[in-house]
Amino acid sequence: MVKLKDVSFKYSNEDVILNQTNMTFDKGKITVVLGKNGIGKTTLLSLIDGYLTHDEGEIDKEDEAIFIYDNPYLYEYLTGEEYIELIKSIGKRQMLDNMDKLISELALTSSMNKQISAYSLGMKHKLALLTALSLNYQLYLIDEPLASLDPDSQSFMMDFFKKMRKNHKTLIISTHMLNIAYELADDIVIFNHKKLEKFKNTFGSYEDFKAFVVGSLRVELIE
Amino acid sequence: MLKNPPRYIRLFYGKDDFVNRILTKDLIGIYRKDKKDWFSLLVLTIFSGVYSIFIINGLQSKTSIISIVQMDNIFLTILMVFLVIGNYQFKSIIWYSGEDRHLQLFKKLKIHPLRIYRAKKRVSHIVLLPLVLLYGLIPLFFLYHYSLNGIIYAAVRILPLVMYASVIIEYPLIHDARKKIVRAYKNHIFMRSGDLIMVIVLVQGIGLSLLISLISNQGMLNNHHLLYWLLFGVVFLILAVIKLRYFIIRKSFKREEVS
Repeated sequence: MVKLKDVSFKYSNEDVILNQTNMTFDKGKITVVLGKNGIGKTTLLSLIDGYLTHDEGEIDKEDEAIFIYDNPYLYEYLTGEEYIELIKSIGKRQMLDNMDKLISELALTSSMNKQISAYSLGMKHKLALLTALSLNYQLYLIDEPLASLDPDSQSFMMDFFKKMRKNHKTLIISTHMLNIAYELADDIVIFNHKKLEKFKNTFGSYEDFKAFVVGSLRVELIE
Repeated sequence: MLKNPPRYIRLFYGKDDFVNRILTKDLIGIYRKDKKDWFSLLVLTIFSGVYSIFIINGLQSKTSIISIVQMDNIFLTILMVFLVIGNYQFKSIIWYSGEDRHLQLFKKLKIHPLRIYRAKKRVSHIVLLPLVLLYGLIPLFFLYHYSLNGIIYAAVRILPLVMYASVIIEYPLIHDARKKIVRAYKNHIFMRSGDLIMVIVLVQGIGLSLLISLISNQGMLNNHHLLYWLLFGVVFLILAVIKLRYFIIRKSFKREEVS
């Protein structure tokens, strides 16, 4: 569980991101954060991660988080295999024992011997996710995970996130993609006017969900 | 980390620890990715070598130690500028901030920032080794030509020279790391290569040359080599103070909160 108590954060006096915000992200669930561009979704994840420090309030986390960025920074001159080996050797954490299976499921087997600089953005996303998974954290903060993936990979990743939830992992995902939010989310958090508002994803249909979100945000979102 | 790291990388290996893994990764990065930068470094080294031979030949005709000091000072100024250029050229790999978001990952993995810094410092020294080695090899030219003044001068200049090179190499590294590690620390001065080059040229190239000329013209050194040794000692002391300062900064990495 992640709990924000009266959290405020600003980059400058004109650029206030959160103002006395309260929110609880439940353990073992997928929470999708929706909001228009520049509202501060990545900042919110960075605050939960600890990369940024909030100005006021408290952020309580039961588990340490790992952040998967929308534009993953990887050592491009290493091969995928070398990169995973490096992080594993540094990590000294209890690793997943089914890595080969995971690599195969992510369709990365044939790419693992290639330098990361030759990867597409989608492949880099998969490798970043694979690396994060190999470190076996409980809480995953994922920024725009599917935007750069092809439809097959998107579908695979969505199934994969659901499997992670089954394995009691907590996922907080920020995205603009409404269909993905609808399909994945247990909870929806709307980020608007420096505040967060949470809703259960109990909408009868995707159309209802879309109408609600677009109405709440009054913005155009990507389907 | 790697099943079969290239032999040249294993030359620099110690035990299989974090520092060596980062070192391996960085050397592979430079080898695979930055071949153009390697070429630039090679050109800098060759150019420095040719320039060194030219200077050493010029020194053979000098009989007074002060003439050697003057020419050598100008020579060193140019070499140190090359060292700065080489250091900044590889900054995306050899500086602390080059680790970018991995710094956050390392923090989670309980890797102390000082260990990351040590790894980056070691790789920077290895990458710039050809230039530094050149300074060590130059005295051999004096032996070849057997210039007694030259040999004496070369023998006593090696230690401060290596110290000086290490101060120049570490300056941007330590300030770059400090900016990242100590949240409150800002360092806007002398972080650009142009600023550092300007300081070296003004202080060493012009300032020290003028000082040496002044005391030389006064005839103060002709019969008073003590003054030369005093000047030498002052330079050595300044370098020692800077090294001590770096040591204190490095120690502070243990205390400060990692951003």
